[in-house]
Amino acid sequence: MEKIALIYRSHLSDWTSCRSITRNLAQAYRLAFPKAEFRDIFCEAQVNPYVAIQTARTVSEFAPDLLVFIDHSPFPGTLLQALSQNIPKPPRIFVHVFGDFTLHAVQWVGCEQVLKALDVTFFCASEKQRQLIGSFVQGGAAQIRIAPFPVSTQEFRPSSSQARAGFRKQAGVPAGDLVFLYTGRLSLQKNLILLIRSFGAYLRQIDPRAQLWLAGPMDDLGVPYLGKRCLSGTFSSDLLEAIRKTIPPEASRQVRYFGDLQTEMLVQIYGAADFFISLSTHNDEDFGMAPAEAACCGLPLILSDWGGYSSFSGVGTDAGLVARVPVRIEEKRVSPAFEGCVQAMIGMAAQAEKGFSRETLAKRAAEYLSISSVAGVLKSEQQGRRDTKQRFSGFSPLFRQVAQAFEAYPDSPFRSGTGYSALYRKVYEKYL
Amino acid sequence: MKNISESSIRERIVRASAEGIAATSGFWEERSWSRKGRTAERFLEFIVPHSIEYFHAMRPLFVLLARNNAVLAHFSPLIVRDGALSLLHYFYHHPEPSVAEQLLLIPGKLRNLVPEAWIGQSAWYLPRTTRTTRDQLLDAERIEDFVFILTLIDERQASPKWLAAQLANIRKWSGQQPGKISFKCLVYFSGEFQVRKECFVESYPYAFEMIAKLQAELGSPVTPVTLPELLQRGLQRTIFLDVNEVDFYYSDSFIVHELMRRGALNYSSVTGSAGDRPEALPVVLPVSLLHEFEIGFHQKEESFKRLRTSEALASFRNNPVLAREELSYPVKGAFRSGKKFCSPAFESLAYDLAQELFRSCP
Repeated sequence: MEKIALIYRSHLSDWTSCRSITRNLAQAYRLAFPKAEFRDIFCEAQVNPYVAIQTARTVSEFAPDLLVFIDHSPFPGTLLQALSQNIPKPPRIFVHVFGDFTLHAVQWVGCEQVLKALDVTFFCASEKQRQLIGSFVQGGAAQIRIAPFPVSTQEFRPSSSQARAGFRKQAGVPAGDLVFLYTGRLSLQKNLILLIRSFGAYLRQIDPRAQLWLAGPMDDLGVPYLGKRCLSGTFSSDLLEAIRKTIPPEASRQVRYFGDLQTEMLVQIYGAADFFISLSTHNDEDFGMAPAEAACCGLPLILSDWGGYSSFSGVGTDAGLVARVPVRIEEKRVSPAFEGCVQAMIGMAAQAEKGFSRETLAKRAAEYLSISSVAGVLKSEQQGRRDTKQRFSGFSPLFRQVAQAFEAYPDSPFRSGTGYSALYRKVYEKYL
Repeated sequence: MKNISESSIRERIVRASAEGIAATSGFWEERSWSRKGRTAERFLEFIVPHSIEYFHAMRPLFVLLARNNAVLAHFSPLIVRDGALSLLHYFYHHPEPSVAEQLLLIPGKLRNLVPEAWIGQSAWYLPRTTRTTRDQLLDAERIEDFVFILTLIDERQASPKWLAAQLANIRKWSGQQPGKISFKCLVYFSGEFQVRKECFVESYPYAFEMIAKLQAELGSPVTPVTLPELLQRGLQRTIFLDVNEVDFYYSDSFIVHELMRRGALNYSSVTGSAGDRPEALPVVLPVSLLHEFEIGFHQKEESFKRLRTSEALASFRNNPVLAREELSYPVKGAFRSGKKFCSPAFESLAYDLAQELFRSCP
């Protein structure tokens, strides 16, 4: 019988999306390998060498065929180091790469020799993330695969028309009024000020009755890569000011914030809205759990053509139900053009007017994103033939440069003057 | 000092709000108003996490940190975050405003502590959940969690009598809710970074007493939680009470804002138990998408209360023994105790005044 060990962090992640991802990945593995014996191994987010050795012993006693890092922390390197020293024949290792791979450049470079000695496969959540991580390793991306972060389609699925009508009635939205919805972190990193401005233009030029709904936790992380950090409450103030300056006063109540919602309420709000919209160009946008869940609820998507978001094209571009907003990467900013955002909203509203089936869109999204679909990807990778000559052979000069930037300027590794450094643009041009 | 009228105060607040965030950048970046010296900073460390800075266009700060009043006056209006102790200390050292333009927004619970000379140059504020938000939350009436914010400093934080009355009300309130309420407690030991032995003797029996009291009076278990644990669940169905009877050590709390901007309801505002709302408050300053400050103006009929503060501070100032002790204490106190910025005599005066005037609130 095959044995599989899954490594988690012992306390749930602070990031809502990571909590869902880890839970769903664990389900996908159990679905992919129904006859396997599983062992869940929990570690603190920060693993010290003593804990690493103890954990390696636990792994050694279990003697798995496959060891999977399923959470965004602990950082795998410390454990892999201990593993290589304490297990005579280490198992095959899968590492699911989250958005923070670049953030840990120094630590990854530090465990390069260990990685060379092990049979490690990195799973990226999207094609553009595969390209990004591929540029960090020598000899391309042979040991890098794609497995989207799975969505629980038991929870995220289209609402009935009665449920949709009921929610909209409760929220006081007339049947014909269009609702654009953003869910996820409300953060400077997500270009929400641009979203408010674009919505303001849409209201003035096209449809004065449209609504913009926002839901998710508010954060004041600023832009750490530029050393831009903020006091608590700063982003709330920025958003309020953007609303005051760009939304006509008589329409200010058409921008509505629902707070940080639990799954049950989130599904209802996806059912009640007409479009999901996110213009994020955050450097950690490796996938996009919020648009993935929205798509599984049958919502058309308006997304910046950036990072993991670009992978959603397959869900409904041919039906015109995924609009991609081109992104510019410049010295001072990385964002979609304002006019492009407004055009995408106009285009999507026109497309939706022709009518579409939420069930069909949700079904297509589930074919790519459901837990069972991702289970299939994992199964075929584990059972497929491997070319052992294509093992990890070291990090690229580009990744070493990134690590040096983090070592030299840990508080603002990608800042140049008041904007992004040439290194940032070179690294993240893969996300365009 | 010539006082400015209510309409003028109102106009200035609205104008400053409209100027927006950019106008405040110098205040945050240069901190020219902040005094050098550890005494005030130590006190603010003592009341962490309540004293953690947050951003608002009206420049919230502890006036305790002000280098001098003239510099502070340059930044008007200002949201004053201090509790009764440091606010009265400020008024003791600054019996009158420095310039006619100076304008302070005082915590609503402490509005009766404002001396007569400051009436025309101050208004007061109360944080509340944005009214439209309640409609947006759709099922917000389904409260599931009641969270106590318990800051264990000493009995001036909450007297046994006050706490018993609050708990009796909460027990009654929870019995009227449609679902079962789960009681939780965020506990902050504000004395623990002080390594003096007597702090342990003083603080820990008080801690046990307080937590036991909560459980006994409520007849339900009270589970300790950390802020990250609390935030992971989301706060849409949470109501909280900051156990802070007369706002003695702090008034405008970072933790209260953190909970409110994530959708939690403030028990004091919802039930009106703070007794702070004598009239409709016409000016509103948004703080987040889910909560805001209501601004209120001093009423003429309450002027006897200002006189009480003015007289008490003047009497203290004119007493040579008390005044000398107060003058010399910060120098001596810096070596004795990290948290003190004023003499024990001044602390006693401030506590007496706060209790007396807070209880006389309508």
